Amino acid sequence: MLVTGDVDLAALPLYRRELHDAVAGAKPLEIDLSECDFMDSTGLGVTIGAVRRVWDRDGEVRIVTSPPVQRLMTRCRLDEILPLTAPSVQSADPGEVLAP
Amino acid sequence: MTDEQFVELMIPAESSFVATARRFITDVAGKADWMDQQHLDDLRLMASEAVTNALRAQRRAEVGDKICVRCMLFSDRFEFSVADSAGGFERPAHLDIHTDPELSREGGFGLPLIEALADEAHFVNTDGGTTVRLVVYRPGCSSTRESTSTTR
Repeated sequence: MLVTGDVDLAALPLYRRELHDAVAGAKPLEIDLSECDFMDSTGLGVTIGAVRRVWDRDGEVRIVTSPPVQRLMTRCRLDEILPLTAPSVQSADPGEVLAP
Repeated sequence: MTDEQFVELMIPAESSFVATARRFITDVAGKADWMDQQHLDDLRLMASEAVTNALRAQRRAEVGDKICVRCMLFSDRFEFSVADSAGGFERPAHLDIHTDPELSREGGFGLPLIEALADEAHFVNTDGGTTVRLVVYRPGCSSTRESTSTTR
């Protein structure tokens, strides 16, 4: 599943619906966010929900990140949990990691 | 650049205007000669979180008023604020972003993100709403990394 553009509150209904369909379909699931220019915590929450549903069925999921998405995941310490594939051209500056 | 530049935008309480607010805030911030891409990326995320919170609060309160976004550019810092009319906000005493390996948590990342990215985060309950004011300092200028919650 390829995601392009900005994933924010406005895109959330479509993103949630497409992810729902993707979770029910392809196995293993790849969420390709490499062309996602921006994601905030609303998109992050939906992504986490999809991953959990896949894991609940013992499925496999892979997330390909863009630099902004990788940075968001790192700041939220989700890079330690989620199966991320970082951008290959240059790694994103992780910046400050949020304290647990 | 003058000592202070002030710009304001009123946006309808609709999700499609979150992107408008993001662009507005980062466009104004970009006028500062010290803003680098990392600052702008952080501001883009803070703007999205703050405006989304305001919009959702107004939805819950069933208030359709416009949301006020203000930017202030100083020689040593950039500030922006987002003011809603949702009747007030109680900042949780303890904010963290810890996520367990089972991913039991899907939400609640917005406020911790805001507080981690801003040099200062102020949540002020005003008459009938909340104003969130976020400050980013020019590198090398003093900042007391802080978060406050007050009622006026």
